[in-house]
Amino acid sequence: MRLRFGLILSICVLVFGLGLFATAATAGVGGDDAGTCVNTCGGYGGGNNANSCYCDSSCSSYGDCCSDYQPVCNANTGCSPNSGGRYILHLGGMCSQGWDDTLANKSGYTSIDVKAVQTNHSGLSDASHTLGIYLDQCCTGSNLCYVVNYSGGDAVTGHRLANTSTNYNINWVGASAGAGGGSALSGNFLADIFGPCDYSGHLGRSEVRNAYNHDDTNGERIYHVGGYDGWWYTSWLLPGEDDGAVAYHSAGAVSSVTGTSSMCTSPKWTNHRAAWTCTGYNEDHYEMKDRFIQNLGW
Amino acid sequence: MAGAPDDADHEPSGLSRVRRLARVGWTALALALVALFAGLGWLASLASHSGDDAPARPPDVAAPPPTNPMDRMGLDQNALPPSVRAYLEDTLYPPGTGRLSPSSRDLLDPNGRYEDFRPIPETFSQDPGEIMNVRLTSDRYYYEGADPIELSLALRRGNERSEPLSIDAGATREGRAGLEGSRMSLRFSLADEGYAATLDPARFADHHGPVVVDARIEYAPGVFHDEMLRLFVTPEGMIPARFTGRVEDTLVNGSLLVQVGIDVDQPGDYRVDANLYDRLDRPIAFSAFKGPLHRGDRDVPIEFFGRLLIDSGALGPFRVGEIRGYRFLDGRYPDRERIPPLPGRYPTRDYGLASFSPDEYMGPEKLRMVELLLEDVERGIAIDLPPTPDLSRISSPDSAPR
Repeated sequence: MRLRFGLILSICVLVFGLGLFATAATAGVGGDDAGTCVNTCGGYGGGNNANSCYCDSSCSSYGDCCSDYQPVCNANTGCSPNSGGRYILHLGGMCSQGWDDTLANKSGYTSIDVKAVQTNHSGLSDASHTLGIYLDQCCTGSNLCYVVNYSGGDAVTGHRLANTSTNYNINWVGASAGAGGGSALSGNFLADIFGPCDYSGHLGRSEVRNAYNHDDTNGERIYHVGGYDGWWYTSWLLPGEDDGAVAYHSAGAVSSVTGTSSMCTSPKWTNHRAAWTCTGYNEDHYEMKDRFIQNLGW
Repeated sequence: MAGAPDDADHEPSGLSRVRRLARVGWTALALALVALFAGLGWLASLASHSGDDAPARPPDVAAPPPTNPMDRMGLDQNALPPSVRAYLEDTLYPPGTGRLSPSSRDLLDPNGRYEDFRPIPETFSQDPGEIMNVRLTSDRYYYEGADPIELSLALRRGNERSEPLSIDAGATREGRAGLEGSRMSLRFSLADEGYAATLDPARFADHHGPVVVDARIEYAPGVFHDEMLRLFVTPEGMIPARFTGRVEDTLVNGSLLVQVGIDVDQPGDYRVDANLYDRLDRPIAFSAFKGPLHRGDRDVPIEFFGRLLIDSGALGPFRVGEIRGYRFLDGRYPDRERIPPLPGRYPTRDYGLASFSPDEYMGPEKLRMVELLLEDVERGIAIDLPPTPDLSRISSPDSAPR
């Protein structure tokens, strides 16, 4: 993508000036493009930064494994399949390699950090595949699951559920500041400030909304919370309320891209609902990450 | 701990299960009865799907009143724990199916685009009439085979059409690591709503995956703005299967089963979607097939659940439309090979509502979930649903009950 330097510079200066760039850039937490072991077990990591990490048997001793090495190459998710286990899976957002934050603390349940790499051009399909490994182990047989996701993790969850025929034991999914509806800040000239990884350019509205059937959650119920503490320039570019990265049509799982100030706006995709409040929260995209966990007292 | 009922490696016999569950209280008794019902229902469903059509009830006879397992067993559903009750209420239909409404844009226009006019940041102004807005889009997102890619570009100052001084546009294929190969130039010509260009996918030879269209627009002398657009092509040689045009329907176990003919060239895991319309062409339901398909001429079964059709109140004959699908390549990039969609809508036979079963869905996974939720109640670790807002107190015009 060719970006006009002056435009980017002016916007970056603008954002830096407001002291917000760090917040925008770490929207998904995790940083720059990173390698993945999806389809590369036994060799170098794949993706744009392929050689930065490894997926072979000696990577552990060298300390240079890709973050998804254990689940993807060794099927090691931290869950015990069909063991009566109770799990809360945490799926991070755009540009992340895991949840990388405080995990829920719920009695009787074990929290799992889903190490799904969402940094490369193939971030959605890679992370969806990795999430599938977790779901297969953690959420089948006699195990029971809850999934808490954030930002791009909403799209990853939707992609996985829409493309699987496995009926997982998931009671419900909680989505904070979900990007399942895509963002007008992505997939265009603003992608580079939307996030610091290549995947951030793949969360445009047309791309995400065509990536999977959003009405097919494979029967799972998905609850959404969203924030409205966006910034003046994102409010100018995103329709309705927004948190600086995604608008309410996405965070609220609305099946159109119409601007709205209510998380309860309908029509929503099948099995998607707003949780707690229609108004949303006076928080920006980054602050929204733990909203679901905090509301539940986990 | 009870395991999945369909998992023979971990299940005690049904009788011993009932005995064991009966020892742990009233929730277990309810569970055992649910299990019994669901097991019988599941077996009946399997038998029905073996190929025998259920005899259709005479048309134009009112459907029997809806029932649910708890009611028919004389159990008070309200006495169940809230988590279980809510789960049962939310799973009346099979996974992957649901109601369709005129506002279900994604499903009614399944290959649509969502670009709107968007302001150019450098034209920030207190006067909206001075803000330049641009829209670069195409006629759809996915293209198969030789389908031409129709692109459009429009510029506005405020709400008034504006003419760019120049447009430098091109298209480049994109792979897993980013842009690949050379940029192919595009020529935009004046059109009704702005400028239009046609891109022949053959210019990308056998490229399979995203194509990035870029445009540098000179909207004022010496002042430029860059836009980009991504779309997805499946070249002729990568099309994994084709619909044959054969669409047949029958009643199976009180549901409408549509069989879509498909000629599979590449075996694998497929997803095939379809919409259902009533006799007045009102959208009423969506459903999908997800599963493996072998090479050869096949029928893809897409079930429209009986209870769902009854709840919609729709009258037949129905029409099946927007039949589309892809071979899903799990973990690969790109993750799908698209099948050219089947155009048109296909009428079904004329079934009265009474032909359909009012029973709610009850599959083995639903039973398993009820078991697991009841176990959590017994163990004191149950997690309730997140509360939903009280929509009756919302006055916002764009808020409505789900």
